[in-house]
Amino acid sequence: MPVKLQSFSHSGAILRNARVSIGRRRDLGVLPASLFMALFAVIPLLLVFLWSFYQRHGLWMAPPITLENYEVITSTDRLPVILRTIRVAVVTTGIALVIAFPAAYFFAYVANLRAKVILLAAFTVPFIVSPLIRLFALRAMLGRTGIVNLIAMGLGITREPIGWLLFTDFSIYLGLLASYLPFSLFPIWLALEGIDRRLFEASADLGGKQWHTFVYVLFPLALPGIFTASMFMFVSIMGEMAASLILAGAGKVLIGNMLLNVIDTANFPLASAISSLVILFMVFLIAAGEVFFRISSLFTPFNR
Amino acid sequence: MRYRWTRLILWVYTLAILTYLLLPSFYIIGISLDSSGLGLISTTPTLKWYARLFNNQFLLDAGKLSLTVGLATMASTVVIGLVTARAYRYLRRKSLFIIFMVLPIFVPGIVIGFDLIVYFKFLRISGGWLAIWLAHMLWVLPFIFIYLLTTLSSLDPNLIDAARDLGAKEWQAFRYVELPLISNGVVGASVLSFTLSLNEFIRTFFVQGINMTLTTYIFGFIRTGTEPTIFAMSGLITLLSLMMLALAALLAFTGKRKMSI
Amino acid sequence: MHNKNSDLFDVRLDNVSKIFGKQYAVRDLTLSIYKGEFFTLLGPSGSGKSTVLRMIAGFEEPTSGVIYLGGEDVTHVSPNRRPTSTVFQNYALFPHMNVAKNVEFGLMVRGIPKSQRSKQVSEMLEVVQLGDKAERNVRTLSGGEQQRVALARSIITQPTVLLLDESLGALDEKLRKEMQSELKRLQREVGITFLYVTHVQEEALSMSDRIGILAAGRLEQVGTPEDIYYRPRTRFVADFIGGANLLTGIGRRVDDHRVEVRIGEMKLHVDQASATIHEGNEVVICIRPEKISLGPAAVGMENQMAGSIEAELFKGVAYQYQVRLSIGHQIRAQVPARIEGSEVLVGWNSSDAIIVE
Repeated sequence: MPVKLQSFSHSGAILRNARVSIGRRRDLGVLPASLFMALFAVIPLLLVFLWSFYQRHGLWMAPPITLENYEVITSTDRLPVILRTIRVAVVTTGIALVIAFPAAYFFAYVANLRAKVILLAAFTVPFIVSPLIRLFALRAMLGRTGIVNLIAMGLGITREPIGWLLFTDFSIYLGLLASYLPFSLFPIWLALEGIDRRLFEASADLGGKQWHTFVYVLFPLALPGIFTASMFMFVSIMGEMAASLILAGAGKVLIGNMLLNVIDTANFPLASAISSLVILFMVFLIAAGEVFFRISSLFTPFNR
Repeated sequence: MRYRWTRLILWVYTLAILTYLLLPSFYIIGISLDSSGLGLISTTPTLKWYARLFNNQFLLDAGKLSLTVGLATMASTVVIGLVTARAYRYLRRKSLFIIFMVLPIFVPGIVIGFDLIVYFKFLRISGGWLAIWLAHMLWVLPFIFIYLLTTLSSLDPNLIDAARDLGAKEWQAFRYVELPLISNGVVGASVLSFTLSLNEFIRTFFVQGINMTLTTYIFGFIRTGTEPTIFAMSGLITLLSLMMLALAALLAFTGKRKMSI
Repeated sequence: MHNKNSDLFDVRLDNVSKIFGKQYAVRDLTLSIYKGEFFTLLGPSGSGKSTVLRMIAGFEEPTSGVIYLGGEDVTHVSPNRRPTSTVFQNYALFPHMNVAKNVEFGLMVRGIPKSQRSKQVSEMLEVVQLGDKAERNVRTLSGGEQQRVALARSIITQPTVLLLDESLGALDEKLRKEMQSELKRLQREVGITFLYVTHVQEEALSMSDRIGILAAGRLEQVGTPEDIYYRPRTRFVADFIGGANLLTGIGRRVDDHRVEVRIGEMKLHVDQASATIHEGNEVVICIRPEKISLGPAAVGMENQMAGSIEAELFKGVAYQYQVRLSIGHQIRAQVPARIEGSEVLVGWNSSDAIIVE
């Protein structure tokens, strides 16, 4: 379809203003941010991916291309760590989903605007206040002289301080939940908010009872959020190392700790491989999420 | 009547979770006021640990660095974030862009930290305040972008059109109409960005080189046991952050009110 | 280079088109609006009328065509440099400024000093009868008052053309009628050309000097309210304004003034000098419901036939009947008094019917 653009005709007093091509030029503002992200988020990632195929060369890395880094990861002594991390991740994600769902429901359907703003702000505390400090606090709380034991002994529940609160899997779960619960909450809440309320009315109108509406309307429409929540939790835990370090001591190592150790020994190619694996896993999850659950629909509230 | 019970249960439930999330933070503040310095909470609060903070030269240097980087991050992310958020409205592939911007939040800190050090090494940028600042920008920008996006979404685009229609040039429309209405959001974003930068630990840890910020200083002590002043330091940061967070939320809320007719 | 006739026209659109994606929102629009007239662009939703307004204001750029304001080509000029001012549908009053500050905004950005501004602002507020509300926050005003502030704000900049985008849409019935006469009075007093956009035909008919009917991006007809109402040129216009009865038949020109239309066995006559009728072709007659008479009143009319009443609608000012004619068509008739019975005589004068395309 031919589109003619009228040529500029001369006029007297009124000046031409080139920026009148409205709508086209105005999205230029995204350039600085995009550039920055590309430069410092995307390119490093790609470089690291490249380097994961290099070999150790003094304190740096160099070709020839090799797959040995990836082989090392899947070797026998590394495998238990990976498996343990996956186990912890799955359990924590599961618990987090169960805990977060009612809370997300609360935010979407029960809380009024003022409550929403206040409580949401409160829920972002784990993002903001350094997880380090909080894990620190948790260690103090769960220790033999910590408040939990104080209360337990004071109430007479136990006579001796409970030892298994700290330095066990239990403490790791607690710490991880404290840090990442909001990651689980926000996507589910976003998904629930995005559901057209009239669908519930339609369901009721057609004769559906409460649980019908829940199972057949609410839950399926919340799936993109649930998947995203799981995805973010999973990936974050894979990269987590502070929790296990502070709360569990040397014994219980996660992938995050493993990575840290590898970096310490300046084995950059290996570290690159581990990093790349984590990223690849995340990309894979995002792709799967988009294909099966259409997770990009979560962001529609922002598209005016 | 059934609904009433459900609502109540949900309220209690959510508040309980909230308590769990906030408890450690308040606990730290509690510990820092204890005179024994052993991580207990006693009934005789004292500020002596806080006083001791100021005698520690290393701590003060770390504080200075944290502050400088914090302000730099604040300035850069709010400006870039605002420019980006304003342009977002005219973008065609909106969903794609927003995912692109938000993704870095979810990449584990260690991975980013590692990526950045090898990258900086490759670019021959030495660890130092520049590296820390860049790392912080990477962490903070997505948050500020979303925050400002929500701020701007309350702004009626007709208002800007009306201003231009009445003869205002671009900068006039921005200065007299847009800015006053989004000012709450801008201040809130500034506060938020500073707080995020102040608290950032893991990425900083990797790229800092020989320098130290407050958070990495604290981390150092975890390995070597605890010193009471660390509790005070943590308590201070936590208190400050909580206050600023509350402020950012308040500003977001009142800003929205300001813009409606 | 000045366009010819720039002394007569304030707004001129030359073959303007606007395409969104693959769709034509506006198609080859050519329109001229006279200085000082109250012109209304009327059309159903989706007809493109708001797009036309936005192109004149400068918020959209035409895909092709030229727009002249006061004789100057403004097709590529940004809104803040155009001599137009827009009153938005939701008024778009600046919520953080009071009435006075809203009104003086246009003057302020032009660099007019404070002392001069204050004087003009108070004068303007008097014109819209809001003199005592200068300091009030705009949020506390009623819908009608807010609209007057929007008007004052736009008019004070002395635009060549004032553009109004369905401005009365948010008001209730009674307020609407008041504001209609208010707008008309204002326009007369201030003398600025008004371009009003709406989908409410009654509004267009009562306020405008001329009306342009827009449908699917095309201008169907331009004319005075009487022109549009009594002499619709196309089927769409006939149907859109006032509702119309359309009867299709075979046409034949009898003489210079008369056309005979055959529908079935019936021969109907229409007084129409203008239309060229090709012998034996299909033509469409249009008669307004209020021009049809029923019962005793229909006796003696040139066009008569039997009909049976199918439905009755009470409209307050009149009764409207759905009648099935003996020739098969269903028509609407509007009569002042109630008609008893189901079989009735239907009639109308040849001068009250017209041929439409």
